[in-house]
Amino acid sequence: MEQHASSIECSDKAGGERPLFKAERVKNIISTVLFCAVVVGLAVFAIVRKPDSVSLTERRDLASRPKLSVSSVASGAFFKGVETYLEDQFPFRDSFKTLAAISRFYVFNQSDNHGVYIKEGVAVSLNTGMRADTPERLSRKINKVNAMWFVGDASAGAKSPKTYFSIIPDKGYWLDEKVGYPQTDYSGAVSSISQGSPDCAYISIFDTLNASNYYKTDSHWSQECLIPTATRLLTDMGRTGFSFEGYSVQSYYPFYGVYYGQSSLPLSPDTINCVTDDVTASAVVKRAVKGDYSFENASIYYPSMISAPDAYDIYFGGACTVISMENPLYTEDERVLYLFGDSYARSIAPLLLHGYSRVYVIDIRYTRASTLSNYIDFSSDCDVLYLYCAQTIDQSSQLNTD
Amino acid sequence: MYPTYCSSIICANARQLYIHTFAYCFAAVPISKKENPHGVICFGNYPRQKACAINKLGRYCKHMCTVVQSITFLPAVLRADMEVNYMKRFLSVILVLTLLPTALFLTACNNKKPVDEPTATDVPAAFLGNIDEVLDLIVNKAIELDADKEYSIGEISCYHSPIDADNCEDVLGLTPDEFTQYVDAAMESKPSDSWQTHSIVIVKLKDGTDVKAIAEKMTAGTSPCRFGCLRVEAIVGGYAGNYVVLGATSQTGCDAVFAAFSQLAAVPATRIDRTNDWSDNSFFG
Repeated sequence: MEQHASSIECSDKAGGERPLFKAERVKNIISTVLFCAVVVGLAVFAIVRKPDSVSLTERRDLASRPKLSVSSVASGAFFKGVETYLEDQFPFRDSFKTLAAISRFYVFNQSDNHGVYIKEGVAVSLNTGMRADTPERLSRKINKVNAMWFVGDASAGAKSPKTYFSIIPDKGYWLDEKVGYPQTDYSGAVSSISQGSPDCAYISIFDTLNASNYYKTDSHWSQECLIPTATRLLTDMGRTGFSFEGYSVQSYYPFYGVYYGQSSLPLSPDTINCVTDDVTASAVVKRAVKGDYSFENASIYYPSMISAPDAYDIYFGGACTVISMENPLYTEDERVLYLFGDSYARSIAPLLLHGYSRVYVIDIRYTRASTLSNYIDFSSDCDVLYLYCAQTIDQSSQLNTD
Repeated sequence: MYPTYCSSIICANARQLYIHTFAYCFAAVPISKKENPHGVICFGNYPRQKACAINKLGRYCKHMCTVVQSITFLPAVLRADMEVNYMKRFLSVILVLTLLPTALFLTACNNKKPVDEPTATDVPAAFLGNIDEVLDLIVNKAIELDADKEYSIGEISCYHSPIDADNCEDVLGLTPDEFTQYVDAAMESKPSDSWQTHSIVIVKLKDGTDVKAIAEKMTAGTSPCRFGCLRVEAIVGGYAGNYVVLGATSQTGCDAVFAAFSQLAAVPATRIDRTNDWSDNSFFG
């Protein structure tokens, strides 16, 4: 009390403000100006800046400015649009997201961000599991396709081709437990599909893979690591006369996988390594033309796709309903492989071509099974392989078996 | 001096907030009778000198300050030095009154609306014809309405595929049991031989079903990630009579689908917009 009173007197006698008080005032002015600059400045910048059309890290279109009209305001659509627009187009959005992700991972020690966790430098999604009933549904889908195209009329003496299925584990299979997340029940899925499709032989590829065989920033597996897996599949399907000796690798960089954007962390990009040898060089490749039951010439690798929003489209130029690959170097027999699969199948297909004279890669997520005869003249001298990742099995309702 | 003071009060700085809220509202400092002959209520450190100043001018000034500050905020900022004590108290009270309801609103805020349990209601018929014909009508009308857009849904080659217990969970967000219980017929228009993220669904619900509740459940439950590696841009639902429409495609496509549904239905249609909760696009969420 005494001290305070004397301070006031000193201040009055000096006829001006105390230095301490002046410093406080300057500090207040600076903090006020900075605060207003951040709040008002960012808001004004968000309004006047040219909006981005696409988010490359998230691989999606960003919201555009909503149109102002009486009806849109009255319905509430305008302000809903403004909300979405500002969230999508906020200045330095990716930087703020990265900051938030770093805070979550490294300051607050949270395990995951947007359903993606990082373990041993590898980004893993928590959303790649299978619901309990989905493997059984896949088996029903397999049975439908088999009945449609591959089951011969036994009474007429026709012989049905051998059919196989295999499950591609997510890399979380090796890492989930280490982080403390529940593991996907792959063994349950295998037994469920085996029971539902007893004529379809199971080929396990789990022991040919590990977490390092996948891209660090993406869900997919790396092709250059798949030679043991391809060897397992070919061997179990009874193929002989193939070899992977003397192959080389073509590298393409940088590959920002799907988890790069989802985790929002500044992860190092991956490199896509494509396996090339005489078989891939001499393969005759054709892609189905969209909306037309015909094929166009194509190639196995599209190096220019490394700069595309999804660089994984480097394999065959991206998703396609039916891809045909002919291997003129395979002379053992004329056997054909019908490979029903998803995007994972596109990268292993060139390796499986080493054991067949022809391979068809068929994605019935994007075409109806009943229309396949428009593309393919089915051969009875064939093997059929259903090769799907866990995520596709979970969404197996979208396999168009009608 | 005062603009600086007041600015620092307004500033949402945690330290300032603490000081002004507690020091001037709650941390009362007793002042002697000699210093404060009129018994003006004073708080904190600064108010001591302000109290003296106020007491010099007497109660008249005190009442004037209170009246002026009660009328408007801005003039108060420009008042003389003696008013600062009241100004701060006034602002602190405003601050608390503002923060309290804001906190309550934020606490109550929740993105996910609870879906009501379906209850039986009677609804009029919105469409005539079988489900395939109704879907045809809606798709053609939507294509017509969306024709002048940059990426028109009319450019996507589609076919009709019935929805059954196998795919109802992904397409409609209903369990097979719910599908059997509530759905009379359902048909989807989906891309043929292409990997575009596009789906238009029409569902006829059984009589006595709570259409609103089921429509909301479907809009919230349809999977935006069922299109292979891609995710859909927008999802819009709607209902009229005992029919429910679901558009999962581009935003303009969804708008066209609902507009077509609304124009063709014999009874008024209600739109349900699903907030994009599948793009991982939030800063902090």
